[in-house]
Amino acid sequence: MRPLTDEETKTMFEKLSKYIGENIKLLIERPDGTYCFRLHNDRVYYISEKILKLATNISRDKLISIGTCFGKFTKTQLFRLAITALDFLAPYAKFKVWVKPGGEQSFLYGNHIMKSGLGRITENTAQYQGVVVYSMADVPLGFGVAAKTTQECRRVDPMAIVVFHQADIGDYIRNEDVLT
Amino acid sequence: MTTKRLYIGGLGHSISPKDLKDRFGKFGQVSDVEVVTRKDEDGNPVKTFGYISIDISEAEFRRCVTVLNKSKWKGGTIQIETAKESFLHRLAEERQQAAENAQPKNLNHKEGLVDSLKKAGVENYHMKAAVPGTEIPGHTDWVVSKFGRVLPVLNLKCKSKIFKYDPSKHCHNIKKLDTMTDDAEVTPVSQLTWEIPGGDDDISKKRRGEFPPQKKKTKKIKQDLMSLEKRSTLDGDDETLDEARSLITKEVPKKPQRAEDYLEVVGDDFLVKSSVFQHGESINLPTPGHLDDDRDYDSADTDEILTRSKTLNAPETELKEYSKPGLLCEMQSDECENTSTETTHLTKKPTAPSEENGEESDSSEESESSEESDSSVDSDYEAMMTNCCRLEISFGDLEMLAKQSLETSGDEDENSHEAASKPVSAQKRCINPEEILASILESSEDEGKKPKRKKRKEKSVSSLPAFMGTKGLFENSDASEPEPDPCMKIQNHEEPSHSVPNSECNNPPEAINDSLTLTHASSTEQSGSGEEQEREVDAPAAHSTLESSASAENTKDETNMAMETSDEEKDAIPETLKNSPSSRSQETTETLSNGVSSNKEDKQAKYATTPEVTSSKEQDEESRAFRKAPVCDAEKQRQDNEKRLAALEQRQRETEQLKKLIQGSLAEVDTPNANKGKHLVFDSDDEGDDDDDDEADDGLEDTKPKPSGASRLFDSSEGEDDDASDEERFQLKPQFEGKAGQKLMALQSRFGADERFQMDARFMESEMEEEPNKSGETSQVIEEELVEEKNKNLEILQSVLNINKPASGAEPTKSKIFRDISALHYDPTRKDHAAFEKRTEPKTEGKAARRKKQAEAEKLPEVSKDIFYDVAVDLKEVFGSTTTTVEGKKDVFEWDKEEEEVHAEEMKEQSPRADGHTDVQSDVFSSATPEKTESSGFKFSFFGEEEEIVTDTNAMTGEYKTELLRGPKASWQGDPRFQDSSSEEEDTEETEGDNKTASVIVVEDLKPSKKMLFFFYQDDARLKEGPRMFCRPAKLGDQREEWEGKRTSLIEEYRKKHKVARKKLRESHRN
Repeated sequence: MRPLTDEETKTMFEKLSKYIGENIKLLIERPDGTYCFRLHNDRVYYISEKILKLATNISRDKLISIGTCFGKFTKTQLFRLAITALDFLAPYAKFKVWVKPGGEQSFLYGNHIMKSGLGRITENTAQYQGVVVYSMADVPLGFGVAAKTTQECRRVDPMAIVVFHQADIGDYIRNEDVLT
Repeated sequence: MTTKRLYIGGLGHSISPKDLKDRFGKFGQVSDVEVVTRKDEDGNPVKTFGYISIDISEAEFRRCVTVLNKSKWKGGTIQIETAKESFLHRLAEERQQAAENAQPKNLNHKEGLVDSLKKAGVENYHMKAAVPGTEIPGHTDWVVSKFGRVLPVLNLKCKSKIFKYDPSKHCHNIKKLDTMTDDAEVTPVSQLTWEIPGGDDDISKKRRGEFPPQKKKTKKIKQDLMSLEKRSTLDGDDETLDEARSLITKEVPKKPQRAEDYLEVVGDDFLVKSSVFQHGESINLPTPGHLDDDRDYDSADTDEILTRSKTLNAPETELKEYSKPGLLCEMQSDECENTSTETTHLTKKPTAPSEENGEESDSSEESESSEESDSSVDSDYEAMMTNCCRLEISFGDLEMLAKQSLETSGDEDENSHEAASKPVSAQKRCINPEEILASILESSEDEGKKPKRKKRKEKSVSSLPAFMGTKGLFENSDASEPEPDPCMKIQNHEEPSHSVPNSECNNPPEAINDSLTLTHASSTEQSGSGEEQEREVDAPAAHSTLESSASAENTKDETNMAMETSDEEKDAIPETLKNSPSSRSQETTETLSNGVSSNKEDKQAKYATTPEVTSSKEQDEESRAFRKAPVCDAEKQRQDNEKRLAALEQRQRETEQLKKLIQGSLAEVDTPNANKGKHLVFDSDDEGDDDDDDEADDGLEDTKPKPSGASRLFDSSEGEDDDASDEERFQLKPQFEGKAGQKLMALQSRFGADERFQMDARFMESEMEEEPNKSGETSQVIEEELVEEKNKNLEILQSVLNINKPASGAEPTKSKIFRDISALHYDPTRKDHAAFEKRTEPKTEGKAARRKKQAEAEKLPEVSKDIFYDVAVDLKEVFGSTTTTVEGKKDVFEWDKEEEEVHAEEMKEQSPRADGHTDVQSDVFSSATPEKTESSGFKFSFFGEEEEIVTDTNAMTGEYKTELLRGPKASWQGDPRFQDSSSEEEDTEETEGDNKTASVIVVEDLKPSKKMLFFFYQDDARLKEGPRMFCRPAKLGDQREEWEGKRTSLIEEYRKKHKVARKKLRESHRN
């Protein structure tokens, strides 16, 4: 377990900023304590200082997970968000997409969101903008990337993909063995 | 005379038809002549003969035959015979005959038929008075049909079969056919269109091509959905909700097209409505008192509440899982008896997991449990949400419960109170420390109930709160950690205190106040004696623990009774006793504290010394012995907090009441158990920690005998204990009161787990430096590192965001730039609106006017300057010098164009030159002019005028004059002097600097006019020459010719040069 290097931090922040923009600051500067990012087994964990201290007692090879996993670095040093980060992304998300009850299941099975399943979308969403996906009951379901702008979304046919799937809470079941 | 056709043979080959005609014309008229010549294969004529038709009589024919037969005519012997008629003639004859025969035949048939019918009595195909079907005699094929008509019997051929159609047998059919035709005639042809019959149903309409107009049904669907949801929620029946959901889901696919059309686009500021467990309302809700006793809800919450109240009816197991303490309390209040144990059981459940995993885990567990009962996701979610609410809301209900259950019995009271306190703690965990503090403060101030709601509302306004989602988790971890979280501490103390006073008296507000003060006092105790604790922990701890371990088992039951702890506490204590061999006071204290604070491991345990813990216990649990140690601290702190003595007294009374109550309850429990030594031993531990070993021993001895008269001792001891402890606890309260207190809390929260910061702010400042712990140092180092890391992260973030800015930041800037001018309103009260004010300063206007005047003046002088120029020619030297000096000055000086005087001076200068342009100028100027004129006609005169204004520098000006007069040509180098003079002037007279500058301006203003003069004058030759340069001197053709003439020569030249250059190059190469 080690702190992130500058490059790693940058790549991660760039990724996060796609979803929550400058609200990353609120994750770093929290009034309720010191929080930090730590890299462990290529995974980035968001940990409070206290837990961090506790974790010093655990040897590296025995430590499986600590704090909240935000995602992992691929072998090519790209950052990939994990669904576990949803709890932190959802409240600060800049752009949101609401899925109709009919499209919920499809999304939770790992499919992209069709236009037919799109219930509501934040205006001025740019293409390839990171979005957090909510159900119509405002339960965060996951996140994805907008395949079309808001304007385009209005026009396209019902079967066109509107949001690319990235992660959803179905991952907790599907990728149970991978998630930490 | 008959026409005969004659055959004439044996003719010569050369005979023509005309010859024949002529020859036989003698005997009769020849109508038709035909000569036939037969030829052999080679084409040679072999035989020639002919036919003629001739009208001839018999006599003539004989004479003809006798004359011409066998006679020789033109090389041939004629042979005449009668021939058959020609076939054409015969054909014509036959046709004629046929035609003649045909017509009479048809007529004959019809007429014959009619005639024959007539004979049989039929007239015009009608036979009167004949029965249909009778055959007409003589005509088998004719039958009498209806109405006496005579019709033929038809033989119809149909596919190799022949039907005999007898009209008489089908006579009635004819009538039918007639009617049918009548009907058909009624509808005109134009109306005979193809029409599909059908009702008003959709399908038939669509078949007919009538489509209903497109409607936007999506909204309706949504509304339906909402209404269904509402209904279902109102019903509170999960099944109905599920049904509704399923219905909706069915509906949605049914009308996919319309549903697709509906796409809502939301602005950036769209707020997610539901409190999704991570944020937003998680902050708002946790504040207790949401559910008041009088049950006034927010209108928005009604749904939730309804559902909650409905879920109450659900099976008990569910209730347990859901951990709705508030509801349970209600139930208890209703049932009032034998529920206390249940409540403890039930409430334990929720608290235990919450300790382990925090709020989130709670919610997740609950959700899991709810999942079992509910199938649909939404219902799960709702259940989850409602659970959360319940957890948070229950506070008010708990109080109620506390009161009610109090009345039932002592034991039950305790249990119930514990139960009540626990959920509260659980719920509060998710709260910010500041918030807790605030809520506590508010509750204490406003008697702890209603203000919280307001607070909640206020907080809900904040748009993006700091992340609170994992707060519960983090706090739990804190709790388990040795280092305490301030808020936790407060909570832990507060909760028991809350419950106790409730049980004590029937007026809750007061009780709450007191309890709060109690808690504060206790916390202050801990903090205040932090030093001592730390010192003492090492040495006396071991001893005390040993003692405690020794007497642990003996006093087990007694302690239970005496301390009046809850069941959990009882459990906890024996455990600690078993573990005591480790001989750590800390552990025991920890466990004890855990017991007190409902199984939560407190930070106090580690750093707070045993006596304090015990003191807190005493306060909460009313243990008798051991006043000594706390008293010392108490006295100090009492002095500090004398203000609150009055409140203390009140509280004392209340505590006394409480004691009585507890005594009563204990009396029952006491009887079976005789060993209260445990309790004593425990207390002695505390004492030992506080004081020396000897004291602890004494304490032990003292305390041991006491248990026999538990009740009495209790009373007496408690009174004092309470005083002391209360005071002690009171001390810390100021820390949390007012803004300063809040600041302190903020500080604490910032420092997080560091226990040093839990203390009073003053304490922190004074004593932290004195006794820095090693662990503190290390933690400090770590913290520093973290801070560094954080800063680094922030920097990186900034860089990242900067990169992103152009994309995201462009729009906001635009929006900022845009202003709706029409919406602007001038508000004179606002300061920033001063910018909109138009400043109509008389000066500026005057200035503008002056400028105009100046401009006019300048214009005028231009004309006059010619004259001046001429004059200057005489005094070339002087003039040149002046100009140069003027320029020099210009360079040196700064100027203000706004000065009036300057202009005036300028005017003056110009006026003498202009000879009477003074009209424009003011009176002052006019007065000045004579002086000027007096001084000189030169430009330097205006310096003199300046001097008039600038009284001090008269001498200087005088110098100028002399200089100018002497060496006008040296004026180019004479700049420094002017500089000097200017600087001097400025230095000496700052007040009149304006004037000087003004003079400078005059110079400047003059300059352009002069320039005009210098560069051009009227009828300037240059002006005339210039245009010529642009005009063609010769015609274009001529020029071309010239050029072409030149061109050849030029080319030649060029080539020559080129050659030469090449040669040179080669030579150079060779060389």
